[in-house]
Amino acid sequence: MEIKIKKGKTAAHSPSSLEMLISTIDQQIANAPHPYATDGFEAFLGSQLSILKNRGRQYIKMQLNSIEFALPLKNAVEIGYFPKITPLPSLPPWILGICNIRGDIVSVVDLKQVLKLKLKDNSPGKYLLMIKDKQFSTVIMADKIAGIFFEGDVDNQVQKNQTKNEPFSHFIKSTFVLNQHPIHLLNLEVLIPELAIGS
Amino acid sequence: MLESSLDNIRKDFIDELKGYVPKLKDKLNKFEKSSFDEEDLSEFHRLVHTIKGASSLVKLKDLNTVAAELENLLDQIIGNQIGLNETVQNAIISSIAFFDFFSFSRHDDPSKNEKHMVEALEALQNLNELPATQDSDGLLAQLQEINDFETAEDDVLNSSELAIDDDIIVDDVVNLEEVIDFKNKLQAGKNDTAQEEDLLPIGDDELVSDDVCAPFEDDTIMDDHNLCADDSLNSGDGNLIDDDDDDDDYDDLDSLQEELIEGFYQEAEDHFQDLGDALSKLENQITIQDRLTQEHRELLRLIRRSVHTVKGAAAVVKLTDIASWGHEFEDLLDYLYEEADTICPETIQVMSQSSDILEQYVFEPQNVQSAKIDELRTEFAGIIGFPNDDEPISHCEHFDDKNTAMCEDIDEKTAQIFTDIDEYELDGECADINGIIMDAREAGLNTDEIDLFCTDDHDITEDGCEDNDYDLYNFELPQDELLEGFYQEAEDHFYDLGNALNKLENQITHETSLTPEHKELVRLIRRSVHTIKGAAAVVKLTDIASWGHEFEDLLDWLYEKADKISPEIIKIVSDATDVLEQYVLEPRLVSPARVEKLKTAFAYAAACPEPSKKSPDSDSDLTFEDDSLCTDDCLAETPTIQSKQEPPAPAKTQTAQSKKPAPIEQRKTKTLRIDMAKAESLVNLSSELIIALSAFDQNVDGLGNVIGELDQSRLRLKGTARDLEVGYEVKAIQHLGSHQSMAQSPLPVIGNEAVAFPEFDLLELDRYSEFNLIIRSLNETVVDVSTINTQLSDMHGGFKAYLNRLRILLSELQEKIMRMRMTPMTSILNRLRRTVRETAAKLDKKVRLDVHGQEIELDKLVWDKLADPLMHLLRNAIDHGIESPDQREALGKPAAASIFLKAAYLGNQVVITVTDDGRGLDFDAIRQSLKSTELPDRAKQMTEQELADMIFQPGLTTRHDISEISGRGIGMDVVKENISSLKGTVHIKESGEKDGTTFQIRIPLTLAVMQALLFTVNGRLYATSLYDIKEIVRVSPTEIKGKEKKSIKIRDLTLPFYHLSEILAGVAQKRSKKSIDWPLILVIDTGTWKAAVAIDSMERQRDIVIKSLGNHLHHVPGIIGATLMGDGTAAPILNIEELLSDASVKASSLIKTAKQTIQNPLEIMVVDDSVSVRMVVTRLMQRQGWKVQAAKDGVEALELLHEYQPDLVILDVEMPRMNGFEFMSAFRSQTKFQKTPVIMLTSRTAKKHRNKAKQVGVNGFMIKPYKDEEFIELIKNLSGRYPN
Repeated sequence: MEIKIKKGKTAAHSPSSLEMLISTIDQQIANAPHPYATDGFEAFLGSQLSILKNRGRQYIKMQLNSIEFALPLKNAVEIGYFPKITPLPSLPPWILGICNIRGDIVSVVDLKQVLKLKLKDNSPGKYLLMIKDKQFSTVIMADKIAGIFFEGDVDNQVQKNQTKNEPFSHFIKSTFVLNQHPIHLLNLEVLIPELAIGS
Repeated sequence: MLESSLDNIRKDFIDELKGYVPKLKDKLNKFEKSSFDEEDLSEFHRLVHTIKGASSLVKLKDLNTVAAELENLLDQIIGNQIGLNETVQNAIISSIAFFDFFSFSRHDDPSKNEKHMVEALEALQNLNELPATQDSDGLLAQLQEINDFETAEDDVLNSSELAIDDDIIVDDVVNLEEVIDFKNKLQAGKNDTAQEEDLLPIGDDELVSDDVCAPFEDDTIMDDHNLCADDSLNSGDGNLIDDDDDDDDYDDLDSLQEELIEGFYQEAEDHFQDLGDALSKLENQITIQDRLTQEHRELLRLIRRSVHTVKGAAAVVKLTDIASWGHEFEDLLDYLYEEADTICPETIQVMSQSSDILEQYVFEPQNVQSAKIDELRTEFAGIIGFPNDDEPISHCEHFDDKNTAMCEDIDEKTAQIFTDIDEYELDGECADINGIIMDAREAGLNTDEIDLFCTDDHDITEDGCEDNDYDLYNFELPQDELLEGFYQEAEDHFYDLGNALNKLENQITHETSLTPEHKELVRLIRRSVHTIKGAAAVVKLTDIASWGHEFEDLLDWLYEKADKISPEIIKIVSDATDVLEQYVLEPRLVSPARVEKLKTAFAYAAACPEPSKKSPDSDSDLTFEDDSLCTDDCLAETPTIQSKQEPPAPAKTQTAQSKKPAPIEQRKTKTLRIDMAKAESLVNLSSELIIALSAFDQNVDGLGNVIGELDQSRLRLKGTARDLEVGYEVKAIQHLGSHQSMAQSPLPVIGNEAVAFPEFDLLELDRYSEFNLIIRSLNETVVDVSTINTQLSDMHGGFKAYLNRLRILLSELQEKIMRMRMTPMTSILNRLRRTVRETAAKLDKKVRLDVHGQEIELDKLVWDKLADPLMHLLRNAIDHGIESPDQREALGKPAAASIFLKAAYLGNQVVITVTDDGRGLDFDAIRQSLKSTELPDRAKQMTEQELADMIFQPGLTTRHDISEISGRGIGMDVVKENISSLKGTVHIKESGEKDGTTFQIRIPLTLAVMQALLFTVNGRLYATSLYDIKEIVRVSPTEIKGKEKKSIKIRDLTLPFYHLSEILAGVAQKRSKKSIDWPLILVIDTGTWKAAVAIDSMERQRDIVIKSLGNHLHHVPGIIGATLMGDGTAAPILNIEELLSDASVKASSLIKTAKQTIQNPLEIMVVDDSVSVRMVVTRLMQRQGWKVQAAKDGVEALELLHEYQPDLVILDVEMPRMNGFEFMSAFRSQTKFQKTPVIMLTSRTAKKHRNKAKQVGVNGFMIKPYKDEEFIELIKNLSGRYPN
């Protein structure tokens, strides 16, 4: 089917229509309630930052065997899919090997084994999360990277002693309750030295 | 036109010379009448200089030679180096006579010239004591040579119309300096001639044009700071301009001007280099206010010459700012060279800054700060002194304030000395501080204060007060940069010092007379110490300067006064060197007690004890053998432990140091000095890379075009295929069922050919149907595609060549960049020597360190990391290996032991051996020590080599007592660990009671790149250093002997045999039949360890980039690092020796670690005729970390299976050539594949298909489309790798 472009009269009316359209848009914009119309943009930005600040520290959460864990977002430097892992000899079983992250060789840790979780399908997880703390960096594996949340968003914070029966309680700093689900906050100060080997 | 021939210029010059000669004679008359004054001498010198410069320019070499010699003589007269005696007079007369003869008779009778030249040169050269051509024959020969040269040159010049500007710019013989001199002097001559026309007839070639705007004399130009710009230059060159061709002349002159400017910048660079060199030497020499020696004046003269030349050249090319500043600077230099008696470091700083400004004017005029210039002008005025100024600035004026402050607390005698200094300064001269210090010393004063005062830059006074006048001399010099420069320089000097000291140590084994050779070594040491001291003073490191000064006093005595030298003296010098080095590198660790003791030792050695400074305990019992010079407490002492009698200099130093902006704790060099040639080669290489890249780019464009053509051909083929489909397949379907086949049916014929030529039979005339045309079209397309294929092949070949070129360039570039980081072993030698000295002194042993291969280069970081292990080995050798002198003598060995440190290149490694001539390893003691560990039984059976290797085990010691040096059983394991972290190895090569012990360290040349062999074991890719592999062979299994401990015989050599698949995976799960039958073996030889190691297959050899295992794993036994492959995967780099020895150690349970096995990736073969299915399934499998091999049908799969053994097969049913069922029959018929799981992936869901699959041995059935999770689950289940 051939599409024909109409010319002539319609085109001649276009400018006025366009003007009308622009005029309408302008009017709508003018009447729209600007969030920063009264105080200016900087005030608006400042208020947003203030809101964010009030929401507290940011965490990244992940799932291991359907259990949710979290760690500070500032310690997470890379998220990705299961990497190609090269195993190495003479390493403990929870170190799966090494992988290439943007040209750097990084060790891969099976966090399930470290946290003494039962291995489901012998799979350490499909996703990688590279964590870094001072001079230490490694990749940990997770079944799912579940998102980011603010400390201020949590419903409740359960102290560590209430999770003492969990096999991984040694590595837990505290437990958040978010939308009625527990999220165990990993204590990197304990976890990272535990992961460090041969040094 | 410019003058076309040199002859005309020469003619002009001879005329000029005729004018100069009477003037010279006039001055000579004055000389004879003894009315010759300084002004006359100056004028005489100027004329001779003009003749020299001009004769050089016009290439009258004989005249130039005599003029140059004469000028040299005049320089000496002016510099008061030579008096105006009769011999000098005769030389001058002879020279003038030669000038005279030359000017009038050169072209008439050259032989007369010769005679006069010989006379003049003889007279001059005798004066100057020139070694060459001292006899008449020699001079004649020289003259002949010059004349020959001139004749030849004249021929060349006359044969062509060589423009004068070419001569100036191109000819190497004539440099810009001479051009300037020539022009200036010529103009000066013109000026003179203008004034004295009766003396110098100018004639037709009149040199002075009417529009000369100003006299062109040097000083006049510079004083005005305003050259006569274009006009003056043009008129200045007026003698070279032919009046007839004005337009052309100006064009040529513009061109000349451009070339001159270009030449100026090139030449200026050289002059700045010379200037910088001379300034740097002066800086090093002038560390305190001092009298100007002849050497200083010579350096000042060189500086002035460079500045003068740059200034003059700038004036000629009309760069007036440069000329102006150069002139001001030159005034200062004139004053310093001609008038000043003393010079101080501040003046040198002013000179340095003035030089910087001059350089900035030349190369970065936009950055010149006028404020800085004003500041420097004030400094100039202060140095030169302006008596009429309202506020005269004395350069050393700040001494007064300082003195006032200092004099308050010092005794009367010291105050008197400072008053003396004041008096010197009030006279407007810098004080002869050294003289005063000597006086003070003679008076028995503590001169440290004065010493410091002299060497310090006056910023800190005795009581720690800031010098108020410091700001005046704070020229905003980048102190950090100065410090950095100092440390770099000090490094070199310490190296020279260490070298000389080492030689001296080796030569002086007992007290002996000082020979010239010893003195030369002492001189070298003194020079290094002096330079370090001077440089330290310049950068305000007063403690170093102060100690250097003390040390230098001892060396002065040793060099100038001492008759004998003994090992004890050498020991004092060594200790003093160590302290000096410590002051530079680790000032925090300098022990004041040690400094004090050394000072006492200095005094004792120089036989001039200083009672006021002697400590009570050192009065009577100080001997050179006194270990207190280097005792434990000295070494262990820290600044917090203060001796009762603080030596004055370090005390001040600490005060001063605490105020320094840049504290020097454990200092590490931040910069890397790179040879200019190395940097240049890198630049060249990068240019080549760019060229290679552009060539590659061009070919990529070509490839794009060919791909376009290929695409066109593809479209044509597609059209043809469609035509066939539409025209014939459809028609064929239409004919389906009819009895007439396609073959029988008449083909449609184009047009009405058949009708048109009914008289021809089909055999008689070809008829073309549409089908024929389509075939023809297809054939043509095939030809096109074939052509494109050829083109693509060519391009492919081309790309390979370009890639090769790029590869070569890149590897070269990489190597050169690596080389830039390389430093010789000398960078750590001083530390090693100090270690030997100190350890030997502590243990009362005599040890010499003999170093070979100090030029061997390694990465600077590697040397730094290697220093500690080497020091440990040396300490151990002295403590454990080397016997006491008595024991050695009893054994018939020399009392002084030797340790040989040798470094050499071996392939891509550096091999360092440390050999001592001690008692060797005590194997019984090692065996005994092992019995107390977990290996009592094994220790009995160990060979000496195995026992030797055990010393690298942590905790092993043969010593019962623990000393400061060794015996704790820690150290050798750390040595090994440190060397391993450098990817290196350490072994004991040999050890015997008589021969001592030899440690061998092997370190790769670079930590970044390695030539490696890539190979697979258990399906995984590994790399290892190619250098250690001596041979790669396939060996019959019958050659493998033994069960637990296997060995293999390769030719006549029996080697321990390992299968890497067993080491890396515990049990070899999968090995190809071929490898089982005839294992592929790497014969490894690391020099100290040999073995045969079986691998599965060999991939290739290539240079690999070594990457560390990250900051988590640090060091994994047997793994050097990893390299990244093209697909991004990491391949471990094995240190096979370490891996296997580690494995054996593990077996012996020395290291208790859980047995680790490596899970092989699942290898899956996907057989499907659909490309899409193959791709999708492959991707899904790879996402699980599995390896996939794809085949497009059963036939291809079977072919692949000849050399490939999958863990699982995914199989389609319907495929061309061989379908799934047929494949299964063939697959299962092979024994090795009877148990390999097979999953059939098909869209056929009928029961009969499932039954058939089961029947042929299929293990699983997956229906297209599948769910990923289910499919993966099925694979995991069937593979048996993933238990539930």
